[in-house]
Amino acid sequence: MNCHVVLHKLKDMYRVTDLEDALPVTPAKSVHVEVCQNPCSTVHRESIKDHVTKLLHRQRVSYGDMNLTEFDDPYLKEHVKWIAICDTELDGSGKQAIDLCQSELHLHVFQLSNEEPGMEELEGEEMAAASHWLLPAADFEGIWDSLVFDTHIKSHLLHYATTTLLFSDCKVDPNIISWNRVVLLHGPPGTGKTSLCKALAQKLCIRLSDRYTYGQLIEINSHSLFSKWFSESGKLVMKMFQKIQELIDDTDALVCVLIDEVESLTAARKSSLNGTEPSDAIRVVNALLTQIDQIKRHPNVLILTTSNVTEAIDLAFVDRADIKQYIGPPSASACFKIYHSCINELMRARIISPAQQLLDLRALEVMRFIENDATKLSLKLKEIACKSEGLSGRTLRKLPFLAHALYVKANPVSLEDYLNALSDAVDKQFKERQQLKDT
Amino acid sequence: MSRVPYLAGKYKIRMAATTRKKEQRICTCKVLLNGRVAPHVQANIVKEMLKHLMLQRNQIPMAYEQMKYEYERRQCGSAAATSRENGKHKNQQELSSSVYKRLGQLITTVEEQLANIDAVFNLSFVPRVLILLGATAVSPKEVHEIVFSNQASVHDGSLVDLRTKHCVRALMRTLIADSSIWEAKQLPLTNTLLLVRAHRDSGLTWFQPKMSLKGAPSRGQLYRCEIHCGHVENSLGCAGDCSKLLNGNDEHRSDCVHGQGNNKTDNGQATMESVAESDDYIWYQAPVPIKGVQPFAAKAPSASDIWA
Repeated sequence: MNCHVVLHKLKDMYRVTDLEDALPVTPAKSVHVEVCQNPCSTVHRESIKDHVTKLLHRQRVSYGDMNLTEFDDPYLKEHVKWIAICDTELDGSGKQAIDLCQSELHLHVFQLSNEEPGMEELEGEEMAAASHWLLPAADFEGIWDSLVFDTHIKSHLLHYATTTLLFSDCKVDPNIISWNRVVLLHGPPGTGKTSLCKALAQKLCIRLSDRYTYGQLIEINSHSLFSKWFSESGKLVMKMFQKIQELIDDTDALVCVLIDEVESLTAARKSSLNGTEPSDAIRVVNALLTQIDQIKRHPNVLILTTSNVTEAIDLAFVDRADIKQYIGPPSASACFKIYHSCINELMRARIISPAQQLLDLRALEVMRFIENDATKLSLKLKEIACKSEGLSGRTLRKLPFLAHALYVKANPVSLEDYLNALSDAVDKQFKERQQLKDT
Repeated sequence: MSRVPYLAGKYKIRMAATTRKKEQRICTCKVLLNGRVAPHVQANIVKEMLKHLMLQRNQIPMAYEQMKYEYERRQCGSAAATSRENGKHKNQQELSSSVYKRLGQLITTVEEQLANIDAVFNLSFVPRVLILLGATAVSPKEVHEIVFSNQASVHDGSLVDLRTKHCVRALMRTLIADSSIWEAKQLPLTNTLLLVRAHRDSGLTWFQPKMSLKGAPSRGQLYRCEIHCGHVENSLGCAGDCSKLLNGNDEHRSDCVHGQGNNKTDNGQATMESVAESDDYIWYQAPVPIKGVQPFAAKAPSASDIWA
């Protein structure tokens, strides 16, 4: 039997016109592309999408994440600030080549709002009860990318949010499957909990720009919700949530409520029963819990909370949180990534000069960590990163500054000298910590 | 079991009451201008409205022009001169330098906005203007909307040209006699934001486009001021000279009157309005908000002052 006959038989058996059709279909990889429109551009989003799709098809392949800020197309030059193919590495698979022509492109076109945060005041109170950002805000640009976590925290949170919306869209009965729209991030100070909340809100607004015309982030100032008048604090919480309710009523808006240091509002009621704590504090917790139950009915709201002291939080609140994510200090590889981005920034600003290529961890791994002229400095940086394990993200981000302030005398400085200074700064940081412990 | 329907009924009633409370109440007042209102006159109407609202809503201590005059005079070094206009004896008090600086900033911001209002009306049809009082554009405490209807009448050669003075006088009379803003309670110091609806391709550069904003914000009390240009009898079905205004009782029925009026309008107006509502018209926001200044704010004695 020749080949032709086999094909014919197959065609008859499976009723396919082409053998290719009989092959299992590989699902197209979906790629998220964020397009930041110029603040003064007024063109339709659809036409921008057309131009960007054409550009990406011309580009053909992206190796991992990609940022484009320079364009040949005069239309894009005029109307687009940057294009980013992002979050392709979130699932931990590392950099991979992405065929842009074959994958499913999700284009998110948005404009940044550069307004100052508004203050939300309650009647009769002098202090602002909340600050209020219109998202996507220029203030939060780049936070998401600057946060480095080891596990898949970012992708988990994104998936959590999309599932929440999917369930609301499909009208899943919340009495049968209940979810509370509350995320609790906890962990030691300086690990990026608050930043992650802000970045997540921004990210969601960009990703969902087709669905919600704008987003809002309301950062509740917990201290302003306590009144000097006995029994008034619970009412202030109620008033605050009434204001939030007004914002949620606009179904075109995605509302993210951020309660930083949530333990100040949800102090464990048990401990206050026998202590000197006034019963007013209990009322605040009660009011907050009932209000959360009230607003979770709405599909366009998400409550993001952070805490350092998890033991102090009321159990009823912890139980309401859908995601209780621990965020620990960065590991050595995360430290390396953070330093790497810091040094690149310093090279961009020409504080470290001449600019030299630093290899990332994956490239070093490929080279099997063998020291030669090309890898010497990168290995040095890796050594510093290993030494810095245990420091918080906030400390890591300020160390490049301290290193320059304390140990660098020249301007501009060479990369090698700078790395030595950074190493000294790390040592000093640990020494200070030890001294603080001893006293 | 017999109690269940009763409880359910009660719950329903309460729900209805809360949803009704959430509905935005719209207060409308109308200005009828029987004649041709040129774009620069429309700009002047908006400018006067802005100045009026800042004063009326307690964001500036005295009428804007007067304040500007006082400020400039003081800057010229004649601070010793006293002012006795309108019994504003309080402004003789020495202003602290920070308040004085803030007043200066306010005047600069307002002057810039006023100049740019002129520019907008030169470049494009502006069917709607929003003056928002509140922290951000999406969460205002109060929304003041100016709607120009029958703007196409500006091309109608058969109409009489109206002068700014005349139009502003008609506007002020309506605002003082008919507007329900006087019943509203005073606002605390806040920001005043100016938004204009103009064509996408109008080439405005000073104003920033806000494409995410669709209509007037749903939050806060909405006060609408409709300005009817051209043949008033056409659009409202009532003849009258340009300064003739609807009396106060008609104010609450104005929406339905307007609805009937729309049926009678000629095709030209209908197309103009549908164009203005189309996707090609977007909101533009003034880049800097006007931050209210109240140097002599009489602070109401709060409970803590009494008990302290």
